Amino acid sequence: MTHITIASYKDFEKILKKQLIIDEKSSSFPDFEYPNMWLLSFTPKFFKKLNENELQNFFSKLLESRHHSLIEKKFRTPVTFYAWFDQQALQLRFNFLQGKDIRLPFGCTIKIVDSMKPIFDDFFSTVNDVLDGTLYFEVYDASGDDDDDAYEVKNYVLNVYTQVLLLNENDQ
Amino acid sequence: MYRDPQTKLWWSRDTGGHGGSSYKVFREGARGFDWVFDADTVGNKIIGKHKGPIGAFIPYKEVIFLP
Repeated sequence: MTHITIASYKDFEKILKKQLIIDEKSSSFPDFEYPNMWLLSFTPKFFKKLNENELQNFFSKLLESRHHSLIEKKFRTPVTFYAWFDQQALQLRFNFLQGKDIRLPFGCTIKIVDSMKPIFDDFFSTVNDVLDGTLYFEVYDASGDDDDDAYEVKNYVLNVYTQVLLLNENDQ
Repeated sequence: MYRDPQTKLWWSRDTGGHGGSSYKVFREGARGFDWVFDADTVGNKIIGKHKGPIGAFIPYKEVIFLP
C-alpha cells in the first residue's frame, strides 16, 4: 500500500499514472501488503480548495485508468475496487482486490453504499469540523478495556463503495 | 489513545480494522498528531510506502486531553 499526502492537483496525477500491480507469472494479484491500496491524506491548505466534484472526477478517472491497465495486461479475472473514509486517520482510502462478490477485509460492520457521495460527505464534514475546531478527539494517557474496544470495533459501521472492473469482449 | 512512554507514539484501537489492522499509531508533531502507520494485533507495523510531505491533521488546539 502507498500513503500519499495530496498537496496539489498534480498529486492526483501521480496516482492516476500508476498501473495496477499484477503478478504476471501467476496472472494474479500479489498476495502481500495490498500493493494496489492507496491512503490519501490532504494538507489543510489543499483540502480547503478541494470540492466534491473534483474528488468525484478523480475517482472516475482512477477507475477508467485502472480498467485500461487491466486491458493492457489482458487480465481476465474480475477486479473489485472499494473505497472508504478512514475517520481516525482522516484519509480517503481505496484498494483493488482480485475477484467479485468477495468478502472485504474489514474488522467492523460495513454498509455498501451505491455511490461515493456518502463517503465524500463524511470526509468533508469530518475534516472541516476538525479544522474548524468543532470536532474533538478524546485523548488519555492510559490503555482502555480490550473487551470494550472489541465491542466498539464490531459495532462500528463504515460506509464502503464498491465497483467491479470486468473486461468484456470489446476490451480485447 | 494510549501513549507508549518509550517511543512516545500514541496508539489507538482501529475502528475499521481493514486488512488485519488493529491499531492506528500517531506521532506528536509541532502542530498536532500525525498518523504514522497502521499496526496489526501484536503491534507490528503494516508496511507501506509514503509519497509527498507528511501532513499534520489533528492540531493540538482541537484535542481535549483527559486526566
